[in-house]
Amino acid sequence: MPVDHRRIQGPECSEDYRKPKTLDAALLKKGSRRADGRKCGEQRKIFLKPGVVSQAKGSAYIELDHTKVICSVFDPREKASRNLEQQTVRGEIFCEFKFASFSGVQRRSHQQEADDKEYSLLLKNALEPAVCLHEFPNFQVDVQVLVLQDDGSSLAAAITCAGLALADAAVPMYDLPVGLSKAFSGDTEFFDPTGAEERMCLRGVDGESDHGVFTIGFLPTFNQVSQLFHSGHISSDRFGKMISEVGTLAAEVHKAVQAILLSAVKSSIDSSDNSKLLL
Amino acid sequence: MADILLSEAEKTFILHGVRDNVRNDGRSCSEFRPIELELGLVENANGSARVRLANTDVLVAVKCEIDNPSSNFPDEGKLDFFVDCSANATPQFEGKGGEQLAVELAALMSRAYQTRESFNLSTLSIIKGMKCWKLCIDVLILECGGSLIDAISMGTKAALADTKIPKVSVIGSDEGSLELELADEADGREEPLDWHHAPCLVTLNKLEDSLLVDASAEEEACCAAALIVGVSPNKKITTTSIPGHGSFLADSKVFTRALNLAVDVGVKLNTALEAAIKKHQTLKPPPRGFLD
Repeated sequence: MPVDHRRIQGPECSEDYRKPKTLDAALLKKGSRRADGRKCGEQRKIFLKPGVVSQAKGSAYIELDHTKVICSVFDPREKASRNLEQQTVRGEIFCEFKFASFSGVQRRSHQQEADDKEYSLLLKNALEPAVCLHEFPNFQVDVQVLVLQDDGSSLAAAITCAGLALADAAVPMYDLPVGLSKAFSGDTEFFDPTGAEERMCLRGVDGESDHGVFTIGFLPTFNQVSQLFHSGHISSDRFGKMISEVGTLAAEVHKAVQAILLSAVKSSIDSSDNSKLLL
Repeated sequence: MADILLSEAEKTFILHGVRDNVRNDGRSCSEFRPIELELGLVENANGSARVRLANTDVLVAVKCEIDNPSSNFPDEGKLDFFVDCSANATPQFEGKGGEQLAVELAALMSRAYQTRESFNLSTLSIIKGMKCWKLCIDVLILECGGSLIDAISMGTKAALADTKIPKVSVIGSDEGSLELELADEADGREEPLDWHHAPCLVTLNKLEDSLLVDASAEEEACCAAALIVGVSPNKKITTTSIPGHGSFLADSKVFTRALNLAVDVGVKLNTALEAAIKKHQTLKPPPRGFLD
Protein backbone atom coordinates (compact mmCIF):
# COMPACT_ATOMS: atom_id res chain seq x y z
CA MET A 1 0.00 0.00 0.00
CA PRO A 2 1.55 3.36 -1.01
CA VAL A 3 2.25 5.87 1.75
CA ASP A 4 -0.43 8.55 2.13
CA HIS A 5 1.40 11.88 2.11
CA ARG A 6 -1.64 13.95 3.01
CA ARG A 7 -1.80 12.70 6.54
CA ILE A 8 0.76 12.91 9.29
CA GLN A 9 1.84 9.34 9.85
CA GLY A 10 2.43 8.37 13.44
CA PRO A 11 5.21 5.95 14.37
CA GLU A 12 4.61 2.62 12.63
CA CYS A 13 3.99 0.46 15.64
CA SER A 14 1.82 2.69 17.75
CA GLU A 15 -1.28 1.55 19.54
CA ASP A 16 -4.06 3.12 21.50
CA TYR A 17 -3.33 2.89 25.24
CA ARG A 18 -6.93 1.83 25.97
CA LYS A 19 -8.34 -1.65 25.58
CA PRO A 20 -11.89 -2.27 24.33
CA LYS A 21 -14.40 -2.54 27.17
CA THR A 22 -15.05 -6.01 28.52
CA LEU A 23 -18.15 -7.24 30.28
CA ASP A 24 -18.47 -8.68 33.72
CA ALA A 25 -19.43 -12.35 33.35
CA ALA A 26 -21.80 -11.97 36.31
CA LEU A 27 -24.15 -10.13 33.99
CA LEU A 28 -24.84 -13.44 32.33
CA LYS A 29 -27.17 -14.43 35.14
CA LYS A 30 -30.65 -14.80 33.76
CA GLY A 31 -33.09 -12.08 34.71
CA SER A 32 -30.45 -9.55 35.58
CA ARG A 33 -30.37 -6.22 33.81
CA ARG A 34 -27.69 -5.52 31.25
CA ALA A 35 -24.87 -3.04 31.66
CA ASP A 36 -26.95 -0.19 30.23
CA GLY A 37 -30.05 -1.12 32.22
CA ARG A 38 -31.98 -2.85 29.44
CA LYS A 39 -33.73 -6.18 29.74
CA CYS A 40 -32.37 -9.05 27.65
CA GLY A 41 -35.00 -8.73 24.94
CA GLU A 42 -35.05 -4.95 24.75
CA GLN A 43 -33.94 -2.94 21.76
CA ARG A 44 -31.97 0.27 22.22
CA LYS A 45 -33.76 3.53 21.48
CA ILE A 46 -33.49 4.32 17.79
CA PHE A 47 -33.00 7.72 16.25
CA LEU A 48 -33.54 7.71 12.49
CA LYS A 49 -33.45 10.62 10.13
CA PRO A 50 -33.69 10.54 6.33
CA GLY A 51 -32.32 13.18 3.98
CA VAL A 52 -29.26 14.20 5.99
CA VAL A 53 -26.79 14.42 3.11
CA SER A 54 -27.89 17.12 0.68
CA GLN A 55 -25.60 16.07 -2.19
CA ALA A 56 -26.80 12.47 -2.24
CA LYS A 57 -29.97 11.30 -3.96
CA GLY A 58 -31.10 9.69 -0.72
CA SER A 59 -29.54 9.34 2.69
CA ALA A 60 -30.28 8.32 6.25
CA TYR A 61 -28.69 8.49 9.67
CA ILE A 62 -29.32 6.01 12.44
CA GLU A 63 -28.32 6.11 16.06
CA LEU A 64 -28.66 3.13 18.39
CA ASP A 65 -27.43 4.70 21.60
CA HIS A 66 -23.67 4.78 20.92
CA THR A 67 -23.72 3.11 17.50
CA LYS A 68 -23.95 5.80 14.84
CA VAL A 69 -24.22 4.95 11.15
CA ILE A 70 -24.76 7.19 8.16
CA CYS A 71 -25.73 5.99 4.69
CA SER A 72 -25.83 7.75 1.33
CA VAL A 73 -27.39 6.47 -1.88
CA PHE A 74 -26.45 7.93 -5.22
CA ASP A 75 -28.19 8.10 -8.58
CA PRO A 76 -28.02 5.03 -10.78
CA ARG A 77 -24.97 5.14 -13.01
CA GLU A 78 -23.90 2.87 -15.78
CA LYS A 79 -22.34 -0.32 -14.53
CA ALA A 80 -18.58 -0.33 -14.60
CA SER A 81 -18.85 -3.47 -16.68
CA ARG A 82 -15.83 -5.67 -16.46
CA ASN A 83 -17.24 -8.09 -18.94
CA LEU A 84 -19.23 -7.13 -22.01
CA GLU A 85 -20.79 -10.60 -21.89
CA GLN A 86 -22.38 -9.75 -18.58
CA GLN A 87 -25.03 -7.42 -20.01
CA THR A 88 -27.86 -8.72 -17.91
CA VAL A 89 -31.45 -7.66 -17.47
CA ARG A 90 -30.78 -6.82 -13.84
CA GLY A 91 -29.29 -3.79 -12.24
CA GLU A 92 -26.86 -3.95 -9.38
CA ILE A 93 -26.39 -2.47 -5.95
CA PHE A 94 -22.83 -1.58 -5.18
CA CYS A 95 -22.36 -1.45 -1.41
CA GLU A 96 -19.39 0.08 0.29
CA PHE A 97 -19.27 -0.42 4.03
CA LYS A 98 -16.63 1.37 6.02
CA PHE A 99 -15.81 1.80 9.66
CA ALA A 100 -14.47 5.32 10.16
CA SER A 101 -10.90 5.46 11.44
CA PHE A 102 -12.11 6.86 14.76
CA SER A 103 -15.14 4.56 15.15
CA GLY A 104 -13.56 2.06 17.55
CA VAL A 105 -11.03 2.13 20.34
CA GLN A 106 -8.13 1.21 18.03
CA ARG A 107 -7.61 3.47 15.05
CA ARG A 108 -8.54 1.80 11.80
CA SER A 109 -7.01 2.28 8.38
CA HIS A 110 -8.55 4.91 6.15
CA GLN A 111 -8.84 2.32 3.43
CA GLN A 112 -11.12 -0.69 3.50
CA GLU A 113 -9.83 -3.54 5.62
CA ALA A 114 -10.87 -7.19 5.40
CA ASP A 115 -13.90 -6.87 7.65
CA ASP A 116 -15.09 -3.72 5.84
CA LYS A 117 -15.07 -5.70 2.59
CA GLU A 118 -16.86 -8.62 4.24
CA TYR A 119 -19.55 -6.39 5.68
CA SER A 120 -19.99 -4.71 2.29
CA LEU A 121 -20.84 -8.07 0.79
CA LEU A 122 -23.13 -9.07 3.66
CA LEU A 123 -24.95 -5.75 3.39
CA LYS A 124 -25.36 -6.19 -0.35
CA ASN A 125 -26.78 -9.68 0.13
CA ALA A 126 -29.19 -8.32 2.71
CA LEU A 127 -30.45 -5.46 0.54
CA GLU A 128 -30.62 -7.11 -2.89
CA PRO A 129 -33.83 -9.13 -2.40
CA ALA A 130 -35.65 -5.96 -1.35
CA VAL A 131 -34.74 -3.86 -4.39
CA CYS A 132 -36.50 -4.14 -7.78
CA LEU A 133 -33.28 -4.74 -9.71
CA HIS A 134 -35.11 -5.25 -12.99
CA GLU A 135 -36.17 -1.58 -12.96
CA PHE A 136 -32.67 -0.35 -13.79
CA PRO A 137 -30.98 -2.91 -16.01
CA ASN A 138 -27.26 -2.43 -16.62
CA PHE A 139 -27.16 0.35 -14.06
CA GLN A 140 -25.73 0.27 -10.58
CA VAL A 141 -26.91 2.13 -7.50
CA ASP A 142 -24.15 3.09 -5.07
CA VAL A 143 -24.83 2.63 -1.39
CA GLN A 144 -22.13 4.10 0.84
CA VAL A 145 -22.32 3.24 4.52
CA LEU A 146 -20.06 4.83 7.09
CA VAL A 147 -20.02 3.77 10.73
CA LEU A 148 -19.15 6.86 12.72
CA GLN A 149 -19.14 5.11 16.05
CA ASP A 150 -19.26 1.39 16.65
CA ASP A 151 -20.85 0.06 19.80
CA GLY A 152 -22.19 -3.26 18.56
CA SER A 153 -24.87 -4.21 16.01
CA SER A 154 -23.33 -1.96 13.37
CA LEU A 155 -24.23 -4.27 10.49
CA ALA A 156 -27.83 -4.53 11.68
CA ALA A 157 -28.02 -0.74 12.02
CA ALA A 158 -26.48 -0.38 8.56
CA ILE A 159 -29.14 -2.64 7.00
CA THR A 160 -31.97 -0.57 8.49
CA CYS A 161 -30.25 2.70 7.62
CA ALA A 162 -29.48 1.65 4.04
CA GLY A 163 -33.08 0.52 3.58
CA LEU A 164 -34.35 3.94 4.64
CA ALA A 165 -31.75 5.70 2.47
CA LEU A 166 -32.77 3.66 -0.57
CA ALA A 167 -36.41 4.57 0.05
CA ASP A 168 -35.41 8.21 0.47
CA ALA A 169 -33.61 8.01 -2.89
CA ALA A 170 -36.82 6.71 -4.51
CA VAL A 171 -35.13 3.49 -5.63
CA PRO A 172 -37.97 1.06 -6.48
CA MET A 173 -38.20 -1.51 -3.69
CA TYR A 174 -40.40 -4.42 -2.73
CA ASP A 175 -40.03 -3.88 0.96
CA LEU A 176 -38.13 -1.96 3.65
CA PRO A 177 -35.33 -4.19 4.94
CA VAL A 178 -34.76 -4.24 8.67
CA GLY A 179 -31.56 -5.35 10.40
CA LEU A 180 -31.58 -7.22 13.71
CA SER A 181 -28.85 -8.67 15.83
CA LYS A 182 -28.68 -10.99 18.78
CA ALA A 183 -25.79 -12.23 20.86
CA PHE A 184 -25.90 -15.05 23.33
CA SER A 185 -23.71 -17.06 25.62
CA GLY A 186 -25.07 -20.24 27.16
CA ASP A 187 -28.68 -19.56 28.09
CA THR A 188 -28.45 -15.80 28.23
CA GLU A 189 -29.49 -13.87 25.16
CA PHE A 190 -28.86 -10.22 24.39
CA PHE A 191 -31.06 -8.63 21.75
CA ASP A 192 -29.37 -5.70 20.01
CA PRO A 193 -26.01 -6.22 21.75
CA THR A 194 -23.57 -3.47 22.57
CA GLY A 195 -19.92 -3.76 21.52
CA ALA A 196 -18.81 -5.28 24.83
CA GLU A 197 -21.64 -7.84 24.77
CA GLU A 198 -20.81 -8.77 21.17
CA ARG A 199 -17.13 -9.28 21.95
CA MET A 200 -17.93 -11.39 24.99
CA CYS A 201 -20.34 -13.62 23.11
CA LEU A 202 -17.95 -14.08 20.19
CA ARG A 203 -15.14 -15.17 22.48
CA GLY A 204 -17.35 -17.26 24.70
CA VAL A 205 -17.17 -17.43 28.46
CA ASP A 206 -15.28 -20.34 29.97
CA GLY A 207 -17.68 -23.03 31.00
CA GLU A 208 -20.41 -22.03 28.56
CA SER A 209 -20.25 -24.14 25.46
CA ASP A 210 -22.73 -22.35 23.21
CA HIS A 211 -22.01 -18.79 22.22
CA GLY A 212 -22.30 -16.57 19.20
CA VAL A 213 -23.62 -13.48 17.48
CA PHE A 214 -26.39 -13.38 14.84
CA THR A 215 -27.17 -10.64 12.38
CA ILE A 216 -30.41 -10.99 10.42
CA GLY A 217 -31.61 -9.00 7.45
CA PHE A 218 -35.39 -9.23 7.37
CA LEU A 219 -38.11 -8.14 4.93
CA PRO A 220 -41.19 -7.75 7.19
CA THR A 221 -43.94 -7.45 4.57
CA PHE A 222 -42.98 -10.68 2.84
CA ASN A 223 -41.69 -12.44 5.94
CA GLN A 224 -38.42 -13.23 4.18
CA VAL A 225 -34.98 -13.55 5.67
CA SER A 226 -32.55 -11.98 3.25
CA GLN A 227 -29.43 -12.45 5.36
CA LEU A 228 -28.68 -14.79 8.22
CA PHE A 229 -25.15 -14.13 9.31
CA HIS A 230 -23.78 -15.90 12.32
CA SER A 231 -20.43 -16.52 13.93
CA GLY A 232 -19.87 -18.65 17.01
CA HIS A 233 -20.41 -22.17 18.26
CA ILE A 234 -24.04 -23.22 18.63
CA SER A 235 -26.48 -26.02 18.00
CA SER A 236 -29.05 -25.87 15.23
CA ASP A 237 -32.15 -25.58 17.41
CA ARG A 238 -31.14 -22.04 18.41
CA PHE A 239 -31.77 -20.93 14.87
CA GLY A 240 -35.32 -22.22 14.82
CA LYS A 241 -36.10 -20.23 17.94
CA MET A 242 -34.45 -17.11 16.56
CA ILE A 243 -36.36 -17.30 13.27
CA SER A 244 -39.72 -17.74 15.00
CA GLU A 245 -39.08 -14.58 17.04
CA VAL A 246 -37.70 -12.44 14.25
CA GLY A 247 -41.11 -11.29 13.02
CA THR A 248 -42.13 -9.78 16.34
CA LEU A 249 -38.68 -8.34 17.00
CA ALA A 250 -38.58 -6.60 13.62
CA ALA A 251 -42.12 -5.21 13.86
CA GLU A 252 -41.13 -2.35 16.18
CA VAL A 253 -38.23 -1.21 14.03
CA HIS A 254 -40.27 -1.60 10.83
CA LYS A 255 -43.07 0.57 12.21
CA ALA A 256 -40.59 3.26 13.19
CA VAL A 257 -38.97 3.30 9.74
CA GLN A 258 -42.36 3.48 8.01
CA ALA A 259 -43.55 6.33 10.24
CA ILE A 260 -40.37 8.32 9.63
CA LEU A 261 -40.57 7.84 5.89
CA LEU A 262 -44.19 8.91 5.88
CA SER A 263 -43.51 12.08 7.86
CA ALA A 264 -40.55 12.91 5.59
CA VAL A 265 -42.77 12.63 2.52
CA LYS A 266 -45.50 14.69 4.17
CA SER A 267 -43.13 17.47 5.15
CA SER A 268 -41.64 17.63 1.65
CA ILE A 269 -45.17 17.95 0.20
CA ASP A 270 -45.98 20.68 2.73
CA SER A 271 -42.82 22.62 1.95
CA SER A 272 -43.47 22.42 -1.80
CA ASP A 273 -46.99 23.78 -1.19
CA ASN A 274 -45.46 26.69 0.73
CA SER A 275 -43.08 27.47 -2.13
CA LYS A 276 -46.06 27.72 -4.47
CA LEU A 277 -47.50 30.40 -2.17
CA LEU A 278 -44.28 32.39 -2.43
CA LEU A 279 -44.72 32.61 -6.22
CA MET B 1 -19.27 -18.41 -8.94
CA ALA B 2 -18.82 -18.71 -12.67
CA ASP B 3 -21.99 -18.04 -14.61
CA ILE B 4 -23.61 -20.83 -16.55
CA LEU B 5 -26.33 -20.08 -19.08
CA LEU B 6 -29.18 -22.56 -19.04
CA SER B 7 -32.29 -22.72 -21.16
CA GLU B 8 -35.74 -22.92 -19.58
CA ALA B 9 -36.05 -26.53 -20.71
CA GLU B 10 -32.81 -27.50 -18.98
CA LYS B 11 -33.90 -25.77 -15.78
CA THR B 12 -37.27 -27.54 -15.87
CA PHE B 13 -35.52 -30.85 -16.42
CA ILE B 14 -33.34 -30.34 -13.34
CA LEU B 15 -36.36 -29.21 -11.30
CA HIS B 16 -38.46 -32.25 -12.20
CA GLY B 17 -35.61 -34.55 -11.33
CA VAL B 18 -35.04 -32.89 -7.98
CA ARG B 19 -38.72 -33.28 -7.10
CA ASP B 20 -38.20 -37.04 -7.40
CA ASN B 21 -34.92 -36.84 -5.44
CA VAL B 22 -32.83 -37.66 -8.50
CA ARG B 23 -30.25 -35.31 -9.92
CA ASN B 24 -28.61 -35.19 -13.34
CA ASP B 25 -25.77 -37.47 -12.34
CA GLY B 26 -27.95 -39.95 -10.45
CA ARG B 27 -27.25 -38.66 -6.93
CA SER B 28 -29.91 -38.00 -4.32
CA CYS B 29 -30.38 -34.47 -3.00
CA SER B 30 -28.14 -35.01 0.04
CA GLU B 31 -25.21 -36.75 -1.60
CA PHE B 32 -21.79 -35.35 -2.36
CA ARG B 33 -19.97 -35.99 -5.58
CA PRO B 34 -16.85 -38.21 -5.39
CA ILE B 35 -14.10 -36.41 -3.51
CA GLU B 36 -10.38 -36.93 -4.04
CA LEU B 37 -7.92 -35.85 -1.40
CA GLU B 38 -4.17 -35.63 -1.53
CA LEU B 39 -1.85 -34.41 1.22
CA GLY B 40 1.68 -33.10 1.31
CA LEU B 41 2.08 -31.95 -2.28
CA VAL B 42 3.79 -28.63 -1.76
CA GLU B 43 7.33 -29.10 -0.42
CA ASN B 44 7.96 -25.52 0.61
CA ALA B 45 4.81 -25.29 2.70
CA ASN B 46 4.48 -26.65 6.24
CA GLY B 47 1.31 -28.45 5.21
CA SER B 48 -0.73 -28.76 2.05
CA ALA B 49 -3.70 -30.54 0.60
CA ARG B 50 -5.49 -30.80 -2.68
CA VAL B 51 -9.20 -31.50 -2.94
CA ARG B 52 -10.95 -32.49 -6.10
CA LEU B 53 -14.77 -32.48 -5.92
CA ALA B 54 -15.83 -33.72 -9.36
CA ASN B 55 -14.59 -30.77 -11.45
CA THR B 56 -13.89 -28.34 -8.62
CA ASP B 57 -10.18 -28.31 -7.89
CA VAL B 58 -8.69 -26.53 -4.91
CA LEU B 59 -5.12 -26.46 -3.57
CA VAL B 60 -4.55 -25.31 0.02
CA ALA B 61 -1.12 -24.65 1.52
CA VAL B 62 -0.26 -23.68 5.09
CA LYS B 63 2.87 -21.74 5.88
CA CYS B 64 4.03 -20.88 9.41
CA GLU B 65 5.63 -17.61 10.33
CA ILE B 66 6.75 -16.17 13.64
CA ASP B 67 4.88 -12.99 14.45
CA ASN B 68 4.02 -10.69 17.35
CA PRO B 69 0.63 -11.47 18.92
CA SER B 70 -2.03 -8.79 18.98
CA SER B 71 -2.19 -6.77 22.19
CA ASN B 72 -5.84 -7.73 22.81
CA PHE B 73 -5.01 -11.44 22.82
CA PRO B 74 -1.38 -11.78 23.92
CA ASP B 75 -1.47 -15.53 24.49
CA GLU B 76 -2.91 -16.47 21.13
CA GLY B 77 -1.46 -17.06 17.70
CA LYS B 78 -2.94 -15.93 14.40
CA LEU B 79 -4.71 -17.54 11.49
CA ASP B 80 -4.73 -15.70 8.19
CA PHE B 81 -6.76 -16.81 5.17
CA PHE B 82 -6.04 -15.78 1.64
CA VAL B 83 -7.93 -17.06 -1.38
CA ASP B 84 -6.59 -16.68 -4.89
CA CYS B 85 -9.01 -17.19 -7.75
CA SER B 86 -6.56 -18.09 -10.45
CA ALA B 87 -7.35 -17.19 -14.03
CA ASN B 88 -6.89 -20.89 -14.81
CA ALA B 89 -10.30 -21.59 -13.40
CA THR B 90 -12.32 -19.33 -15.67
CA PRO B 91 -11.46 -16.31 -17.83
CA GLN B 92 -13.73 -14.16 -15.61
CA PHE B 93 -11.07 -14.39 -12.92
CA GLU B 94 -8.49 -12.61 -15.03
CA GLY B 95 -6.89 -9.59 -13.41
CA LYS B 96 -9.17 -8.31 -10.65
CA GLY B 97 -12.23 -10.22 -11.79
CA GLY B 98 -12.04 -12.84 -9.09
CA GLU B 99 -11.23 -10.44 -6.28
CA GLN B 100 -14.75 -10.08 -4.92
CA LEU B 101 -15.30 -13.81 -4.82
CA ALA B 102 -11.88 -14.31 -3.20
CA VAL B 103 -12.68 -11.78 -0.46
CA GLU B 104 -16.03 -13.44 0.21
CA LEU B 105 -14.50 -16.91 0.50
CA ALA B 106 -11.61 -15.77 2.70
CA ALA B 107 -13.99 -13.90 5.02
CA LEU B 108 -16.26 -16.95 5.29
CA MET B 109 -13.32 -19.17 6.21
CA SER B 110 -12.07 -16.70 8.86
CA ARG B 111 -15.55 -16.61 10.39
CA ALA B 112 -15.77 -20.39 10.48
CA TYR B 113 -12.43 -20.68 12.30
CA GLN B 114 -12.98 -17.70 14.58
CA THR B 115 -13.92 -19.41 17.84
CA ARG B 116 -11.69 -21.28 20.25
CA GLU B 117 -13.79 -24.40 19.84
CA SER B 118 -13.00 -24.63 16.13
CA PHE B 119 -9.34 -23.91 16.39
CA ASN B 120 -7.52 -23.16 19.61
CA LEU B 121 -5.18 -20.29 18.83
CA SER B 122 -3.48 -20.49 22.22
CA THR B 123 -1.64 -23.59 21.02
CA LEU B 124 0.19 -21.31 18.59
CA SER B 125 1.66 -19.09 21.25
CA ILE B 126 5.45 -19.24 21.77
CA ILE B 127 6.14 -16.51 24.30
CA LYS B 128 3.12 -14.81 25.78
CA GLY B 129 2.80 -11.26 24.60
CA MET B 130 5.93 -11.39 22.49
CA LYS B 131 6.07 -14.15 19.91
CA CYS B 132 3.51 -16.46 18.37
CA TRP B 133 3.00 -18.56 15.29
CA LYS B 134 1.01 -17.10 12.44
CA LEU B 135 -0.49 -19.69 10.11
CA CYS B 136 -0.94 -18.28 6.63
CA ILE B 137 -3.48 -20.45 4.86
CA ASP B 138 -3.38 -19.83 1.13
CA VAL B 139 -6.07 -21.29 -1.07
CA LEU B 140 -5.60 -21.55 -4.80
CA ILE B 141 -8.64 -22.25 -6.93
CA LEU B 142 -7.58 -24.23 -9.95
CA GLU B 143 -10.98 -25.12 -11.32
CA CYS B 144 -14.50 -23.92 -10.58
CA GLY B 145 -17.31 -26.45 -10.77
CA GLY B 146 -19.75 -25.56 -8.00
CA SER B 147 -19.45 -26.05 -4.21
CA LEU B 148 -16.28 -23.97 -3.98
CA ILE B 149 -16.55 -23.21 -0.28
CA ASP B 150 -17.17 -26.89 0.55
CA ALA B 151 -13.98 -27.90 -1.25
CA ILE B 152 -12.01 -25.05 0.33
CA SER B 153 -13.11 -25.95 3.85
CA MET B 154 -12.21 -29.61 3.32
CA GLY B 155 -8.86 -28.64 1.84
CA THR B 156 -8.13 -26.33 4.76
CA LYS B 157 -8.91 -28.98 7.34
CA ALA B 158 -6.76 -31.52 5.50
CA ALA B 159 -3.90 -29.05 5.06
CA LEU B 160 -3.99 -28.26 8.79
CA ALA B 161 -3.88 -32.00 9.48
CA ASP B 162 -0.80 -32.24 7.27
CA THR B 163 0.88 -29.24 8.93
CA LYS B 164 3.82 -29.77 11.22
CA ILE B 165 4.89 -26.82 13.34
CA PRO B 166 8.60 -26.71 14.14
CA LYS B 167 9.23 -27.15 17.84
CA VAL B 168 10.68 -23.98 19.25
CA SER B 169 12.37 -23.38 22.60
CA VAL B 170 13.35 -20.10 24.19
CA ILE B 171 16.93 -19.58 25.31
CA GLY B 172 18.87 -16.71 26.81
CA SER B 173 16.70 -14.04 28.32
CA ASP B 174 19.36 -11.59 29.57
CA GLU B 175 18.57 -7.92 29.09
CA GLY B 176 15.30 -8.68 27.44
CA SER B 177 16.78 -10.22 24.30
CA LEU B 178 15.22 -13.58 23.62
CA GLU B 179 16.41 -16.19 21.24
CA LEU B 180 14.29 -18.91 19.76
CA GLU B 181 15.87 -22.21 18.93
CA LEU B 182 14.52 -24.94 16.71
CA ALA B 183 14.46 -28.37 18.31
CA ASP B 184 17.02 -31.02 17.36
CA GLU B 185 16.26 -33.78 14.91
CA ALA B 186 16.62 -36.31 17.69
CA ASP B 187 14.00 -34.72 19.94
CA GLY B 188 11.40 -34.71 17.21
CA ARG B 189 11.64 -31.74 14.90
CA GLU B 190 8.02 -30.93 14.49
CA GLU B 191 4.67 -31.42 16.12
CA PRO B 192 1.24 -31.64 14.60
CA LEU B 193 -1.61 -29.19 15.14
CA ASP B 194 -4.89 -29.90 16.86
CA TRP B 195 -7.09 -29.88 13.81
CA HIS B 196 -9.79 -32.35 14.84
CA HIS B 197 -12.41 -29.77 15.75
CA ALA B 198 -12.05 -27.73 12.59
CA PRO B 199 -15.37 -27.17 10.79
CA CYS B 200 -16.44 -28.18 7.32
CA LEU B 201 -18.66 -25.80 5.41
CA VAL B 202 -21.68 -27.16 3.59
CA THR B 203 -23.60 -25.22 0.97
CA LEU B 204 -27.31 -25.92 0.67
CA ASN B 205 -29.05 -24.67 -2.42
CA LYS B 206 -32.80 -24.27 -2.35
CA LEU B 207 -34.74 -25.39 -5.41
CA GLU B 208 -38.51 -25.12 -4.84
CA ASP B 209 -39.02 -27.19 -1.68
CA SER B 210 -35.90 -29.30 -1.92
CA LEU B 211 -32.48 -28.60 -0.55
CA LEU B 212 -29.51 -29.65 -2.66
CA VAL B 213 -26.18 -30.56 -1.15
CA ASP B 214 -23.09 -30.04 -3.30
CA ALA B 215 -24.84 -28.46 -6.26
CA SER B 216 -23.08 -28.55 -9.59
CA ALA B 217 -22.67 -25.29 -11.48
CA GLU B 218 -25.78 -26.03 -13.58
CA GLU B 219 -27.89 -26.71 -10.50
CA GLU B 220 -26.64 -23.54 -8.83
CA ALA B 221 -27.88 -21.55 -11.82
CA CYS B 222 -31.43 -22.84 -11.18
CA CYS B 223 -31.59 -22.25 -7.46
CA ALA B 224 -33.20 -19.20 -5.94
CA ALA B 225 -31.35 -19.09 -2.65
CA ALA B 226 -28.45 -20.73 -0.88
CA LEU B 227 -27.38 -21.20 2.72
CA ILE B 228 -23.81 -21.83 3.76
CA VAL B 229 -23.40 -23.58 7.12
CA GLY B 230 -20.14 -24.32 8.91
CA VAL B 231 -20.44 -27.58 10.89
CA SER B 232 -17.91 -28.84 13.39
CA PRO B 233 -17.51 -32.57 14.19
CA ASN B 234 -19.45 -32.21 17.46
CA LYS B 235 -22.61 -31.12 15.62
CA LYS B 236 -22.21 -27.42 16.40
CA ILE B 237 -22.69 -24.65 13.87
CA THR B 238 -19.78 -22.24 13.63
CA THR B 239 -21.02 -19.91 10.93
CA THR B 240 -23.94 -19.31 8.60
CA SER B 241 -24.40 -16.99 5.69
CA ILE B 242 -26.88 -16.40 2.89
CA PRO B 243 -24.83 -15.56 -0.20
CA GLY B 244 -26.11 -13.98 -3.38
CA HIS B 245 -29.43 -12.27 -3.93
CA GLY B 246 -31.74 -14.96 -2.57
CA SER B 247 -33.87 -14.91 0.55
CA PHE B 248 -35.63 -17.52 2.67
CA LEU B 249 -39.08 -17.53 4.15
CA ALA B 250 -38.88 -16.67 7.85
CA ASP B 251 -40.40 -19.97 8.83
CA SER B 252 -38.64 -21.77 11.64
CA LYS B 253 -39.64 -25.15 10.17
CA VAL B 254 -37.88 -24.31 6.90
CA PHE B 255 -34.71 -23.26 8.68
CA THR B 256 -34.75 -26.11 11.15
CA ARG B 257 -35.06 -28.61 8.32
CA ALA B 258 -32.25 -26.95 6.37
CA LEU B 259 -29.93 -26.68 9.35
CA ASN B 260 -30.57 -30.22 10.52
CA LEU B 261 -29.73 -31.45 7.03
CA ALA B 262 -26.60 -29.31 7.01
CA VAL B 263 -25.49 -30.63 10.41
CA ASP B 264 -26.20 -34.20 9.36
CA VAL B 265 -24.24 -33.89 6.15
CA GLY B 266 -21.51 -31.84 7.81
CA VAL B 267 -20.86 -34.38 10.54
CA LYS B 268 -20.71 -37.22 8.00
CA LEU B 269 -18.35 -35.16 5.86
CA ASN B 270 -16.09 -34.48 8.85
CA THR B 271 -16.00 -38.17 9.75
CA ALA B 272 -15.23 -39.25 6.19
CA LEU B 273 -12.54 -36.59 5.87
CA GLU B 274 -10.85 -37.67 9.11
CA ALA B 275 -10.86 -41.28 7.99
CA ALA B 276 -9.36 -40.36 4.62
CA ILE B 277 -6.66 -38.24 6.25
CA LYS B 278 -5.75 -41.03 8.67
CA LYS B 279 -5.58 -43.52 5.83
CA HIS B 280 -3.37 -41.18 3.80
CA GLN B 281 -1.02 -40.61 6.71
CA THR B 282 -0.61 -44.28 7.57
CA LEU B 283 -0.51 -45.84 4.13
CA LYS B 284 1.58 -43.18 2.36
CA PRO B 285 0.38 -43.62 -1.24
CA PRO B 286 3.03 -43.91 -3.94
CA PRO B 287 4.16 -40.63 -5.49
CA ARG B 288 2.12 -39.44 -8.47
CA GLY B 289 2.43 -36.61 -10.89
CA PHE B 290 1.40 -33.27 -9.43
CA LEU B 291 -1.84 -32.75 -11.31
CA ASP B 292 -2.42 -36.41 -12.06
